[in-house]
Amino acid sequence: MQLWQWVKQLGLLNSGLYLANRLAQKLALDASINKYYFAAQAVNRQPLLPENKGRRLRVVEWPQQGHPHPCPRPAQVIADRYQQGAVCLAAYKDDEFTGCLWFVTTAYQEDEVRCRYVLPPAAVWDFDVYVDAKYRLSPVFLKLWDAASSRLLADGFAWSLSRISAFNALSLSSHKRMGAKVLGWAVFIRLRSVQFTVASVPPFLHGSFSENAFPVFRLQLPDFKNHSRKQ
Amino acid sequence: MSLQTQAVEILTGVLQLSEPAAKKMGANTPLLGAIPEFDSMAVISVITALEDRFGIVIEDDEIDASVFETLGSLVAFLERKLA
Repeated sequence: MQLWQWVKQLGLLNSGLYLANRLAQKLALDASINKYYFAAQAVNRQPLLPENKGRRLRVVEWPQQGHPHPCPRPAQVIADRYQQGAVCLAAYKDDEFTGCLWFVTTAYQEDEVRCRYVLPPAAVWDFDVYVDAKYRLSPVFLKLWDAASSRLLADGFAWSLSRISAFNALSLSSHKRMGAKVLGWAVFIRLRSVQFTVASVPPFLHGSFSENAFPVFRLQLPDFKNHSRKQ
Repeated sequence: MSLQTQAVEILTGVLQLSEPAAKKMGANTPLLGAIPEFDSMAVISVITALEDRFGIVIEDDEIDASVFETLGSLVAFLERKLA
């Protein structure tokens, strides 16, 4: 992709933040810059995957005590997720692990920056939707999403909230094509243990000087009466 | 109508590409990674549209990145399916 296309997709500000973050990493500074968009996705009431696709795929809830966990993340990260009450749905083709997604109800402690999301009723937080590279073009993602939707609807949830990196234009456009609504954004600038947060949603501004201090985003679903899902 | 023209028609419809973009498409036009709209959901939609248009069944295992590398590779795949 050409540079101008990339900047056009990301926007000038986001491109600048991305480059600043890369520069910080390149210079091996103990610093980072992240920008997230908070998005709300309606849980789909009808399967998105056509009936004749993904027939060899099955989705199971991975039990907390199941070891080793198939999700390719460090053991401590997995343990922290379960500690927060997260649920992991894993997709298998025959006996081969193909991908997984995670969600929590009530609240989620972010693991990339220091912040906490508190969820409105009827909403869950989905995160780390992983599909093995070999299956990126396969129906795995839709199979997982359909399975999650079916389960969430049965449990009384209508929305799934998540954060999308502003540096990932593809993910943002994919979410929008699925009908996701952006609720707001937040920028996290960290230098060693000092983190400064600017956001479009409360608490808007936050500064913290230790690992134990973080902003809490109490995300609200906007009025979706006039919001039509693109299917 | 040639297979390539029909494939372009389907891609344009499913991915909602602009008319000028569709007109520029040739056998060497890259698809995956070059068209931002072309994600795994779009792939499923394109496959379903191809199945409907050509009356074929495309199994999950038949699809990999090489099929959608370029318009030409997609057309070659269709030629094999229709042979």
